[in-house]
Formats: sequence, C-alpha cells, structure tokens
Amino acid sequence: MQRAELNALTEIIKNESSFADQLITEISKVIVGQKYMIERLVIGLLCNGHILLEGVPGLAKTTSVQSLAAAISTTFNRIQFTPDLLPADLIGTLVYNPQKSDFYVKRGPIFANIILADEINRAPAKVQSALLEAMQERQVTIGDKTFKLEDPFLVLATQNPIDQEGTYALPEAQVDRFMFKLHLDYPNRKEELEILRKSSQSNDINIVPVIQPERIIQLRTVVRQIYMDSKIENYIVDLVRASRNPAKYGLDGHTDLIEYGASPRATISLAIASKAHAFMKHRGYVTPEDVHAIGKDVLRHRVIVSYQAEARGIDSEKIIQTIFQTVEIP
Amino acid sequence: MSDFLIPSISGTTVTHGPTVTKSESLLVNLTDIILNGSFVAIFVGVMIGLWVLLKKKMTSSRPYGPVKALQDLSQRDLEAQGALPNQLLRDNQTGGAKHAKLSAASMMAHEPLKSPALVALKNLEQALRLKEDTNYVAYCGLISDTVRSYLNDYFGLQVSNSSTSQFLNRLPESIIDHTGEILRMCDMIEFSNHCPTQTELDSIYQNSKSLIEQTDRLICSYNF
Repeated sequence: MQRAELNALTEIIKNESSFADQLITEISKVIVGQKYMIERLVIGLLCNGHILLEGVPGLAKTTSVQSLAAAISTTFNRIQFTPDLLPADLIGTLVYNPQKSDFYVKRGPIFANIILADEINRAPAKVQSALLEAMQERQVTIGDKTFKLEDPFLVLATQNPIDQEGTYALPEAQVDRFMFKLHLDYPNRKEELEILRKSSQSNDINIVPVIQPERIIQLRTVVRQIYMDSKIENYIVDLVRASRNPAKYGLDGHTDLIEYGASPRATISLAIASKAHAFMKHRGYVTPEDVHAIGKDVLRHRVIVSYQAEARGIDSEKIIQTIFQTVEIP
Repeated sequence: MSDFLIPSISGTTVTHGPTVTKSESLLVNLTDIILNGSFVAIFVGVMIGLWVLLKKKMTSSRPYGPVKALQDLSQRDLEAQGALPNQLLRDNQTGGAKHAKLSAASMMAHEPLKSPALVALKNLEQALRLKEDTNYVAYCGLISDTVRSYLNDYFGLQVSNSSTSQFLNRLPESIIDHTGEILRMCDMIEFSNHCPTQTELDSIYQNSKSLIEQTDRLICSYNF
C-alpha cells in the first residue's frame, strides 16, 4: 500500500468511524460503565454478527440494547424466553380471517432490527432452533411464504450463569452461530456510585440518534476494506488451529482438555471482528492488538472443554488465555 | 627412674618398662609409622581434592551461585551480546554486597559485560543497516523488539508474547507516551504494508535511541 492510499483510507476511516465515539457517548448518558459491552454491540452491528450475553441479572443488559436501538434509529423488540414459548410466538403465524374466509400472516416479534432474546436458555430446543435459523438465514417462513428480515438484523441473546434449573442449554452447533459471547461483570466502585447518583435524578434522558440504519449497512463495506497483512492472517489461523491441535503449538498438556476446538466460522469471525475493532480505533489496518482485544469474545463459546478439564476446574476462558500466551505474536 | 609394671607382650611375666624386648620395640615403631603415614596420606588427599575443586571452579564455563540468574536471560543477551542483565542492575540498585559478589563471579565466568543500554544501542545501529537495504518491515521489527526487550529487562517486566497495549500497560506512566509512539509507529509500518517516509524512519530511530539513553542515564545517576 502506498502512503497516499493508506492516508486516504485512514482519512475515510477516521471520518466514518467518528460515529462510534458519538454513539458510545450517547449510550453513556443512560448507561454508566459497560463500555466493553457497548463497543462490542457496535462491532456486532458492523460485522453483521449476533451476540450472546452472559451475566447476572441487573447489569443493564436490556437498557443498553434499548439505548443502542434508540441511538441508531432502529426498531427494537424484547422477547422473554419461557419454557412454554412456541416458535409461532417468535416468528409469527397464519391467523384465520372469518370475514374473508382466508388466512393472513401475523408477523412475530422477530421482525425488528434489534432483538433481545432474554434468557434464551429457558425456552425449549424448538424455539431456540427457530430463532437461530432466522439468525443464520435472515429470513423466516410462515405458511408457504418466506419473509426477509430487516437489515440491520442483530440478535442479542442473554443467558444467566446462575439458576440453571429448568433450562435448556444451547447446543454447541447453535452457540457457534453467535459471533461473540460476552461475559459481563459488575461495575467497579466508582461506576456504581455514579449509578446510584444517576438513579436518584430525573429519568427523562433523551437519546439522540447519531446514525441511520442504512449508513450502518454502508459502513460494513468500509470495514471490509481495512487492510489485513498476511502476518495477521496467519496469526488468526494459528490461534484457531491451536484450539484444535494444541500439541502442535506447544500446548502439550492441553490435548486432553479440549473436546472440540473452534470452527472455521471462528476464523472468519475473528478476521472480520478484528477489522471492525481496528475501525473503531480509527485505523485503516489490523494489528495483533485488535486480534487480542476481540479474540476471547470470538473464541470463548467455540472451544468446548472436556470432562477432564471440567474436573480440574479449567474453563474455556483459561484455555484461550493460554493459547494467546503461547501462539507467537507476529 | 622408678620402676613400674607393664604387661609384657608375651603376657607371661611382669617386666620393667625400659627393658622391652626387641620384637616389642619393632612393633611399636611399625604402628607409629603406619599411623603417621595414613595421616599424611589423608592430608595429601584432602589437599588434592581442594585443588581439583578450585581448578574446576576457576576454569568452568558455567556460572555458579547468583550468576545462575544470568541463564534466565534470553539466549541472545547471553550469547551474542553478553549483556549485563537487569537482575544485576536491580541488585546494584539495592547496593548490597550481593552485587559485588555477582559482579566478581560474572567477571570470572564471562567476558567483560556490556550494559543493556549499550546492547540495545548496538542493535539499533544494526537496524540502520536494514534501513539502508530498504527492508523497512525488518527495520521496524528489530527496533520494536529492541525497545521491548530493553524495557522488559530494565523494569523486570517478564512480559513475553504481548501485544503493544498489553506491553504498554505494564510500563510506568512516565514513559508510556514515548514508548507508545515508537511501538505504534513500528506496528503501522509492519502491518499496514505502508511505505514509510525517510522522516518517519529516522524519527523511529531517534525516538528509540533517546528513550534508551534517557532511561539509562536515569539508572546511572541512581546507582553509580
């Protein structure tokens, strides 16, 4: 890349990515802290990927997603997943019209730009499957008609790490369809103090939209133009392959700890998410830093640990940490 | 001379002391010789052992005691450059006798050592050759590695295989900006396929050099 080209690309990216800072500022009017989650939500939008959120109740997951939807002028629906939920409750159904002696399509709540699938693991497999199919295909079929889902279409599913009784754990194949799995933690002391102060003030905070949904779709093309050097490409492939064949990458003790490594879908996701992360940092090229920053979120739900690992108290998080420490940074 | 009774060798009669038999005196002399001889032999053996041990210690290529800490340093530092490790410098900071001991041992075991700053500056000089060959990616790679390795040793960070941000997060606040500027510029040239200007290349070199010199000056004024 010539200097002029790089400068031009950097200039474009600086201009185009400036919305990200405004968006974070706008959401921060309502949400204190959780910058990590908000950044990943924007990256998910830019990469056209869905996000699985895991965190205890009360961490402002729903409010964050609502604020995001308001800040990008999109429609938002929240669906509470329960054991008695049916696929038709999600995607819609054919309803009989006695006046016309005909069936008409009653669209379900999935027809929105941003969907919050709250406690996804409380619904049975058939509902989860209906949602995940819609996520993958970006279309649903009701009766004999197929309907395209709106674009941008982002599903944010939440899981509660506690209170697992009566839940239907998501199968590995389904989990793989989420681009990121985010672990949300409690706010720090300073943030919690600010939450306390804000909660006692007026609730009338208006979120001003900073970008239109059409613009987000255009920005996806800009993100894909970000330069990724072959050294970074090789690094990404090595990271993913190390999760499948750890011994080959000097992780001899990890062969028995990993049941299944990350899929090629993880490679694709890691590459595009790294580009989006570089975009958020106003850069026209990807560095190992981007891969590091986003890598855990892409890989944590795709590395399935074995019984031996579980027995030894080793989770995928620790394994990924070791992979990142071991695979040589270019 | 008073007479006293001693048992005779034969044990049959009681005889006076001075009047021992010929065979008896021979036996006593023989015992004396044997006892004295073994004493000398043991003494000579011990001396030879000590000499061998001392010689081995003097000629050994492997460092002993605290100098073993040198082995923890990177192969490059030890073999190619013979650098004075940060361990040595840190010990020096405390000003203890440990340092003197370590230095003496190091001097015995190695060639005269160079300071990490000298080694780093030498590496920067080598990088300039890569610049002349227009191998800018390798030039930036070497400068980035040199700065990281130097600061890693200097502050005893024990950070390996880290991204730029991870590395910067471990540094003291006072040098984060300076180091960050160098490393980020190196990253840009390494990963953006960007053809840098001569000014950019020179500024990376100059900034790295000044960072190393400044930190080295700091340690010199503190220790010596």
